[in-house]
Amino acid sequence: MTPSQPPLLATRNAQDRAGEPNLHSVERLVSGFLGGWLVARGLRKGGVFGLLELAAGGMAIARGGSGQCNAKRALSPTAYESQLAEEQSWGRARALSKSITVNRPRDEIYRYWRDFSNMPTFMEFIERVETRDDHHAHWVARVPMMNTSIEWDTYVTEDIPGERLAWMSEPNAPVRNLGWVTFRDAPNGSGTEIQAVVAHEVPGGQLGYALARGVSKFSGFKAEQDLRRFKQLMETGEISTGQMNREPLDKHTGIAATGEAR
Amino acid sequence: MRALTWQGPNMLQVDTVPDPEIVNPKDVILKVIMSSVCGSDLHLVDGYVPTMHPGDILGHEFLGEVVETGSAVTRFSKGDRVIAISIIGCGECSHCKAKDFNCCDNSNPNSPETEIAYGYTCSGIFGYSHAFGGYAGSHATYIRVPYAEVNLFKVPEGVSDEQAVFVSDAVPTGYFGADQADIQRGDTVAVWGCGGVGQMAIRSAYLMGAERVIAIDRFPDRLALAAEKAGAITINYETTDVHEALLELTGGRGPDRCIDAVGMEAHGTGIEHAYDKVKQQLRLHTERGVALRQAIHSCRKAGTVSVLGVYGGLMDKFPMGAIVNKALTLRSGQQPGQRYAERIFQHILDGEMDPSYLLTHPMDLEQSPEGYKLFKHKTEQCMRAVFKP
Repeated sequence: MTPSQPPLLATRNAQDRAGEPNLHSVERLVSGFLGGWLVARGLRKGGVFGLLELAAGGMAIARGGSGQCNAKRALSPTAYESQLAEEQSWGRARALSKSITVNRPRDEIYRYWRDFSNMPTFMEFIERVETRDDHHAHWVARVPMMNTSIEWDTYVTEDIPGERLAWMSEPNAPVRNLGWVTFRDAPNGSGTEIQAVVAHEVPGGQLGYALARGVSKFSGFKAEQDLRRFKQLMETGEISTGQMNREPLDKHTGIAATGEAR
Repeated sequence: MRALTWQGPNMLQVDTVPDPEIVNPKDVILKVIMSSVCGSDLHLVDGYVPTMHPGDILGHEFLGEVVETGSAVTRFSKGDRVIAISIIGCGECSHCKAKDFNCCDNSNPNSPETEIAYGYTCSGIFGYSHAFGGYAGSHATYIRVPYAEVNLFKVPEGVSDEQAVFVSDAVPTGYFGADQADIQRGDTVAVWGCGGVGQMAIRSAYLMGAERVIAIDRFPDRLALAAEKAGAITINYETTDVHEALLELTGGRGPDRCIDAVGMEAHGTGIEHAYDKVKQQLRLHTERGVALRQAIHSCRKAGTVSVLGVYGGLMDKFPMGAIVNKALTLRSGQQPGQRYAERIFQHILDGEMDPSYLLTHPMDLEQSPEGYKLFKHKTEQCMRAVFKP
């Protein structure tokens, strides 16, 4: 890795923190005592269950002794999320990044993306986007599995034509959120590399973050599919479907297969 | 319309279902003239491929007549006699532009399954489970073909229906396997599996300059066809030690190029086959790899192993050591038939290839469940059952 390379969003933990203890002294003490108790119990009990308690206790003592907990590390905000939370003065942040290469010129891709009202054509949960002016948009999104929708406003925070577009939620948003997209030429004239990032504030501390991380497994797949539909539309002029009939609309997404804007 | 539907593992029935319609501008609707079974269907029928839903229509090797065209289709019109390539390409993504239609980015609308299993979304395939796009198959009166100008090919005058239907899948698969094997003039090529694809791979290997092709199977009738129609030297693995026989035939060097036209439900002899079968039934692995292991084992040093047989997931006891220490090249893939269809039609017109002998059992679509039984159990010397709606 060259020193000039910006941190990847896929970096789970800041490099300098890996290997160092990630548990507080109180957590380490509790872990140690609990481990000791389990070991004593396991020894007294014997048998298969005793052996299991002995093993669990041993692991808890090791966790307390080393101050290292991989489970906690896995559920800690990523390097980018920590940085973002600090910049935005959010408690915690959850960010989602997806990349795709579309075999079309950069300007064309940028222009389509710059008009937020195009989003519902390929985004499953965005019902509609009304653009108030060049910089302000009103978003309406369907909440999956609940028969309701949420609405919020955004304004454009950065716009470098053909390169980068960023936006931020207005105070009326149910959760504070932001997003940015970058556009780069793919090698050998094979189109445009797109990286799309959305991030939102996570309330509820560590537990809230763990929950948000679970949910984003689902939303990550959805975002991926959104981008793939965008690619299909830009490259082939239509959105692929295995359906035999025009009606009903795709039962999973409600998106018209024809790719015409709703 | 009528269609052969999958209802559960080894449960097939012919149903009345709604007719397909033009959904996208680049679609074409075909009236199916002939639709063939394929060895890879058996993995679906047997329930080894997940994401099959009751009611799914099978079939991906077919010949039809254009009855309706989408608004963006100009190269085809009503009445054209065409074949469709089984593996769907969009024609526009960078893979399709590079003629790797089998790696199309856009033709599979259901991305998560193959992405979880293989790291990336794989192309859509007709009648081949929801993980591969959920496209309805061709064992039906009509079928919707997306990106028609990329995936349909007009059948030239002088090529019969019985020849043309296999240019949809069996021929280009065999041809692709031989092409990928990087055959040099004078090479000896060994082909595992003498089903439809294996037969075509043997013929293609000769067309690409092989001096000798050795065919391996256990069914005497299939071996006889491989010898008679495709000109192969044959080995029956139930009666002959394959590795010893290959050494004997090649002066101890081994075959230069090996083609696996068998796949994940390979049969074998002895303890290895029994072990694979038990583990597969217990879902501890998905592939029975006897044929592929043998191909890798017997391939000469610095040779090429070309894998055409369908594999779905993880194989146990994969002989990586043989690949590394013998400096083997491993090639594989679903067929990009769009690359080869016109060349194959020319071979047929020139009399260099005649796939029509694969068609052993012409049947009415209504009898298709029996057709699959014959094909699966290889009774009545069934090579391919082909259904006419």
